[in-house]
Amino acid sequence: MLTRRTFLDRLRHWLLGILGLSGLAGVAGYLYPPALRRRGEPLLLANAAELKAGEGRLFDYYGEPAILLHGQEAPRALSLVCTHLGCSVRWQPKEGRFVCPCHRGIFDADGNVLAGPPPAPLERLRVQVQGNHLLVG
Amino acid sequence: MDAPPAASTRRGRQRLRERLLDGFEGRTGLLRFWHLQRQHTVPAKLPWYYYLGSLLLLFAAIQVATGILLLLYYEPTPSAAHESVARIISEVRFGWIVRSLHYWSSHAMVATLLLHLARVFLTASFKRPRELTWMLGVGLLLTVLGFAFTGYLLPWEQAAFWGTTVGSGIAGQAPWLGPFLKAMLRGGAQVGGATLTRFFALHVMLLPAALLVLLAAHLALVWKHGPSEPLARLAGTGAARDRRVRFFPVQARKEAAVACFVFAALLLWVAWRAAPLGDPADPLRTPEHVKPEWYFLFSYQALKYIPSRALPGGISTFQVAVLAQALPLLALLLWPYLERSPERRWRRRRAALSLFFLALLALLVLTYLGVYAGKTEPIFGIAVS
Ligand code: HEM
Ligand code: FES
Repeated sequence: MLTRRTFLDRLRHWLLGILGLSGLAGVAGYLYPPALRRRGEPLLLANAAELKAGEGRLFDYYGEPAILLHGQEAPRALSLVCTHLGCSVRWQPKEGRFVCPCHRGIFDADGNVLAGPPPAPLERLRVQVQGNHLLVG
Repeated sequence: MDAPPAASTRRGRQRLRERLLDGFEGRTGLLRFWHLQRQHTVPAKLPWYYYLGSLLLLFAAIQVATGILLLLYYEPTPSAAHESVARIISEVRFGWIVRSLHYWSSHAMVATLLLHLARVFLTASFKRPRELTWMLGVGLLLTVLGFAFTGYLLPWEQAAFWGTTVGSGIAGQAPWLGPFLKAMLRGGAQVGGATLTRFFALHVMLLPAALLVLLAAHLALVWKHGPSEPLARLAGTGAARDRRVRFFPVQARKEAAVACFVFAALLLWVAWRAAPLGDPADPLRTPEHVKPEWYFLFSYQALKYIPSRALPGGISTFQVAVLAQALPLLALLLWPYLERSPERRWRRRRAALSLFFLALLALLVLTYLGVYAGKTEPIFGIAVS
């Protein structure tokens, strides 16, 4: 039989438990960063249309390393953040590929994985041409 | 019939002293407490490896003292951190000694921690009634490794920046909880200013608080149960076997002497090799050969051998491997309940000891391979190729 006494005891334990857990959830919520990626307006890259074939230009894309490449037809922009564990990959103009110094992940000029541990291609950033300038993102 | 004046002032002073002490004792009870502690005895002639714990206390004290001093000049922001450490080394008087002590004592502490753990395992000192002492010890191990991981990033060097990127990236690979863990560690999508702020808060507030609580409990239990009988004494016979000495002052004096000796050796080492400071972090360029500190090398090397293949259920072999690294830790924590027989002699612990030496061999081989992987890398500030 559930007496009033044990019922009230249990109720108290449950209430305290729920209160404690919601407190913990609140703390976790506070600790979780509010904005993971703070990416704003597309970035203006001046005089970017002068890029020669095979040449790359590094730029800082809202805290992430990125590169602008002169492609076959149009200029291309790729994030250099390796999709494996986040090192910054290097452009090798002669071989026309990206190599990650951390675990030797290799990507082709379009960012597709050629070899190594990376599970996904490099992120492509959108490029719009505005005369001699480029808008990236 | 008054006493001569000199004698009366002496008696007066003595009475005053007694009244002060009595008053103090009445308010705190500390004198009686101290008197009781002086009855505490330990086996006579403890072997050298029973001193490792007190050496850890020495290193912890050095870390706290030098850490507070470093705080007076260190600036925890990406733009200022590296500069401020460079200034401590080159401009602040004796700054290089303070930083080098903090740096080398941290390495010495991790090494001593591993030795202490190995000795407690090999002498089977974690067995009943010291199971909780052991588990608190594992908590201390994690805390100290946490200090090492967070402290590494604080000077904002290239190697540490990318080491932290990879380290938190590995946490991000843990199935299900990974992305949450990674964001919690980094404070954003990439390692950056938010990460530095978090690591700083952990390093100077949360981890010291955890260390204090765990250490107090660890020491209280060590004190309560006293040191386990050294194995050699268990085997011996006669009066020598049962000889005990007081901890205060006999054993305490010996431990203090060893601590002084080790501290002097550390000072000599520091004078010979100041702590290195690498290039400042460049978030856009990863250096060639990113490697963690020596005590994480085994994990770094082991993960290299795991190919990333997709498995059913949307997870990969690599993710499983990352998760699998938690198993040895769990086994370590629960070891007193996995090896339950009260037997302490080596002859009767064949399975446990074989496992221990196998694990040790694996650790050494992986660390060795990790050290020699890639090109020339400074280890302990010494270039190896
Ligand atoms: C900050 C880290 C630590 C400090 C400062 C510390 C301190 C100490 C001290 C002073 C002693 C007594 C002296 C001795 O037996 O060496 C001791 C004993 C002990 N420690 Fe630790 N310790 C730490 C970490 C650990 C770890 C990682 C473990 C194991 C997982 C551990 C398990 C034990 C056990 C079971 C004893 C009792 C040994 C016996 O009675 O023979 N401790 N510790
Ligand atoms: S981080 Fe690029 S291959 Fe591992």
